[in-house]
Amino acid sequence: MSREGGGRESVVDACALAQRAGVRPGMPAGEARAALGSSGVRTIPDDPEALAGVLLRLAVFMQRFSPVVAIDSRDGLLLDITGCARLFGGEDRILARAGRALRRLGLASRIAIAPTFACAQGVARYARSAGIVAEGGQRDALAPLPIAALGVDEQIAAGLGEVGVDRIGQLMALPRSSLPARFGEELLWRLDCAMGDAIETIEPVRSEPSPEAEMIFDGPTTRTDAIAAAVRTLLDRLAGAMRARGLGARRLRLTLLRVGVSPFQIEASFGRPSRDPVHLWSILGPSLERAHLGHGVEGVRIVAERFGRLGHEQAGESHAIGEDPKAVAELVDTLCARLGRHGVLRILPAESHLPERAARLAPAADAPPRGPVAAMADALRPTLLLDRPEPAAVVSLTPDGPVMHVSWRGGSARVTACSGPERISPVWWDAKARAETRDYFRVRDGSGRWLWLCRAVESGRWFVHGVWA
Amino acid sequence: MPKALSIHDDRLARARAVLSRVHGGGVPGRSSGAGPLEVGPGLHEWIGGGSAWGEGGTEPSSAGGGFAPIGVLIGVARARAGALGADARVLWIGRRVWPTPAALVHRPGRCGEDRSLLERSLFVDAHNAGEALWAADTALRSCGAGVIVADGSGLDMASTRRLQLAAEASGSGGAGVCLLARPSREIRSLSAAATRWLVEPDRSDEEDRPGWAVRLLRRKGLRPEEGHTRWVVRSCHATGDVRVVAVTADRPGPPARQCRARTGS
Repeated sequence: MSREGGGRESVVDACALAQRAGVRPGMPAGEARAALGSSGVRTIPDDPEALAGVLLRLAVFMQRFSPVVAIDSRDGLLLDITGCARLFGGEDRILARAGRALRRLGLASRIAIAPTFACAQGVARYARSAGIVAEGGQRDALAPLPIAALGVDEQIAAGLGEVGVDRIGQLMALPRSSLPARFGEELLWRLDCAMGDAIETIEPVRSEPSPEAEMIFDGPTTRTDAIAAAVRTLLDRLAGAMRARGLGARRLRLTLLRVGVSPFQIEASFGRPSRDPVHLWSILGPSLERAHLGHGVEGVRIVAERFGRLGHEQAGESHAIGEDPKAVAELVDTLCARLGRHGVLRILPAESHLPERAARLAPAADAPPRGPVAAMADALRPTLLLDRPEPAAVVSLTPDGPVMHVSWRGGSARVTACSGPERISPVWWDAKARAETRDYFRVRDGSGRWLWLCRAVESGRWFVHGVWA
Repeated sequence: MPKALSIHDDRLARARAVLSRVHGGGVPGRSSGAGPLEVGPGLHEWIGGGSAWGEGGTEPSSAGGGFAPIGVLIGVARARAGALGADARVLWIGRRVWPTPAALVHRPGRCGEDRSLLERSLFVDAHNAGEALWAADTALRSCGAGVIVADGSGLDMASTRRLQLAAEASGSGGAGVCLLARPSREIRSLSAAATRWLVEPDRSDEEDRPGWAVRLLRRKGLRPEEGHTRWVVRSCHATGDVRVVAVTADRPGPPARQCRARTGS
């Protein structure tokens, strides 16, 4: 990461890979680029705002380990894991899992767990090996670390350096009463925070609250029309709230608060963020009709559990039929509400030369995958592939073709044209596939029908795998 | 007199409008000369030729009445979607009409491939005729799909009427196209579709690529003896195109009798 200033561009920060190549903060950027050569490490301009945005997103991501996550300067995060470690099976487990999660995101990290925030900060940033500091072990862990590990101002650390105090252990040996007069209150306060003698508070990041709307009735009701009217009113309110925040719902949870029994809940998912009350109702409405109301419903709550950004749309924007992304998403939602999530699919080509594996089905409600698309075989393929190859009786001149006569599904026909074979071998790396090597033939019978025949090479059996229907 | 004339003109104009709506914009006719790949808005039925291969099958792809004429349906869907716009979605309802992905890819030249039809296609897994009918009706009434290809097995007159009405009064302003693939055993069933086509394998021995003889069995508002009723459609292996290669001039006898003989009913 480099920054321009004073007529020169210099390195601000460098990753471990770059540091191994000899890049150090403060080095001219040109020299760093020369040192990196073709190692694949890129230099990017230092953009504090973008970096803060990334760190904020990472903080929200790390909320899976603890609900209290705070940002620590420009490149660190503080997590209050009090009471959370038990859920993960211990502090060592949470440390390992957090490290793995960050590695999976492609981030290098140094993680420390300590009884106090200041101690964890110092150990993570300055200790030779970061790890877990046991309760009461702050003194031993911090003693060998430089003064900067306390997170004090650079001038204080430099002032202490001038009098020969470089390590925290040396600082702790000095009489406490003499420190504030010479180096200010901050030094002693940071030391107390690290030792656990002072209480340090952190400012946790807050993720956006979910849009929600609630209505409590005067008394319980079992009238479906009244509940439906309440739900529609709440959807209007929810849509208004989401419009004000520029959001759209991806998943709604409708809760019917029933008298005496547990609440009845209905979930609805949307392929694209939506805040159109009519569409939201068209998905929730049919489920509400089937809801069991018990002895009466005394309140209704709707929460948009998942939501996404949805810009303001221009009214009356015209699209050709089938092209409006909103209309397409609404159609998919409507079909999915009755046929299920796997009722509306898209076919994605897959990297396989085996015809039965050359495509995979994915729910259309999911976003289309990013990244490179799989290549497709250039060879001829039938318009319809049978779910599984069907045995056929074949008469051929030689055991491996050409085909003269074929019988299949109770019919038989003389073959008037045959081309092939196209050999398709099984994948050697997949022991479960248990497929045989196959030779495929395109054959045409006397009445012009085209079949895709295959012959299992080892067993010599013939199958029909597809037709040009 | 002028008033009477103008009333007459109005009636004539209304009648023309009704006729054009019933026929659909590009339905082949004597004057247009358009082929089966250029059907207009509305409901159209495609009957797969009674194939001995398909009759004994138990899987959804054959439905006991021959395979759906997928090769021709791909050609029609591609032509119609191309006419609508670059992003118009194509819905394939029912596993019986799901084509292989390779058949949806178009290779216009030696290099490169056009996957737009595959990418804009959505596949609906309807488990029975009722679900397929509901899905097709819902899609026609929304603006979300430009072309709908559906498995039309087992639909009765009322169901096809429902789809025809949905196509005419859809959210798309009556521009919806629904192509129903029906098995050969339903060739004589009553239907409200604008056209009914029979697709059979082409018997000519010269060609090394699949081809189909497409016959217009019925069209609303057109007498059988008018216009062309037979075409030969062939797929091109190199490009994946499906094209009309021949317009057969000779017209066979009444379609119903021919089909009865062919299906053996």
